[in-house]
Amino acid sequence: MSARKEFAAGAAAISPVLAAAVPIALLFGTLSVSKGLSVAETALMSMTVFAGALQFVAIDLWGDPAPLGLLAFTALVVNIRHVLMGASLGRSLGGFSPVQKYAGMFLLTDEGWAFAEQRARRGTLTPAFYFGSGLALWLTWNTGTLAGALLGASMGDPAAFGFDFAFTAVFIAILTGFWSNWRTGAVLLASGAVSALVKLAVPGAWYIMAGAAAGIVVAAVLHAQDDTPDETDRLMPS
Amino acid sequence: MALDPYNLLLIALVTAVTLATRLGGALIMARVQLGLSAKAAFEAMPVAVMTAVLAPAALTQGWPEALAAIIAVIVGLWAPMYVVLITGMVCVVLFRMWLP
Repeated sequence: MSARKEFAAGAAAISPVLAAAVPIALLFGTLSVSKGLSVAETALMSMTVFAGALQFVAIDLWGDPAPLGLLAFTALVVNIRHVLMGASLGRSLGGFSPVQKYAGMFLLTDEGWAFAEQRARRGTLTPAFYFGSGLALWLTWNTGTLAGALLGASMGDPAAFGFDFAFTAVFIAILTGFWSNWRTGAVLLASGAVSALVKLAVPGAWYIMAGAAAGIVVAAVLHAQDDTPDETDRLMPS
Repeated sequence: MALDPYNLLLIALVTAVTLATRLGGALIMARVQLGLSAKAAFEAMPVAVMTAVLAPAALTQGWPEALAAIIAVIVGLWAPMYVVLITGMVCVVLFRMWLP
């Protein structure tokens, strides 16, 4: 496929996410301005940070003066999952030049990453596909943020139409697309249970790392058992 | 409307931390070789990380969100993404009307 077609395929693949991102971006712009940031600052943050979950948390913490250390630490905790995502995706970036690889990481988001992983599993992930989906989301997020900041509080409550649930629904659709066998179910159960429990018990965003670790450990253990039946048998009391 | 210097500093700081986490993974992978178990662990990463991001938001907010999420999972096993998106949103609005 030509690069142009791949670029368009990337943008088309991520289109449900774009639809879900518009109301969220509008909401972010509105909230940010209501917290005292200017329209220019709000737009700048969306352009450079480009991480929806973190931006909402950061705006929530923003005060007068905003706590610098707490913000930096929160940014690290909320986004540390990107290290795992980047590490996982790194295995599929064989067709990327070094510049494309590291420039591409700037566009790394939960959603863009999920589509890139899916693409890599079904064939080859090309730079054009990755940048097509990444730039489409970047443009949508920033246009929406700017519009929200300009429109301000004249907008309604997105929860009234279920828009606040849009990302959850899109994520579920991506997740079910990853289903392959019972091991997927085991990973899903471990991650889901541990992350939900840690979220209830521990303040902050640690639940993401805890849940991810649980799922990863379960996957490694199940694989090891599967691969070395002899050793496992020997460990059993006879 | 102005750009406040302190706010700019904060935005730059958050951007820098975010960028570091984004580059971190790719930099690590450029330097390590994987064994078999580690490979299985990496294979599971997308599902594990995504579930960990998603499950608390879906399950601990309340009954309407939890039920809508479960329905979205069932629909997601066979339907395309737009169908899951619309079903989830409709369900959550309806359940919020009917459930506590």
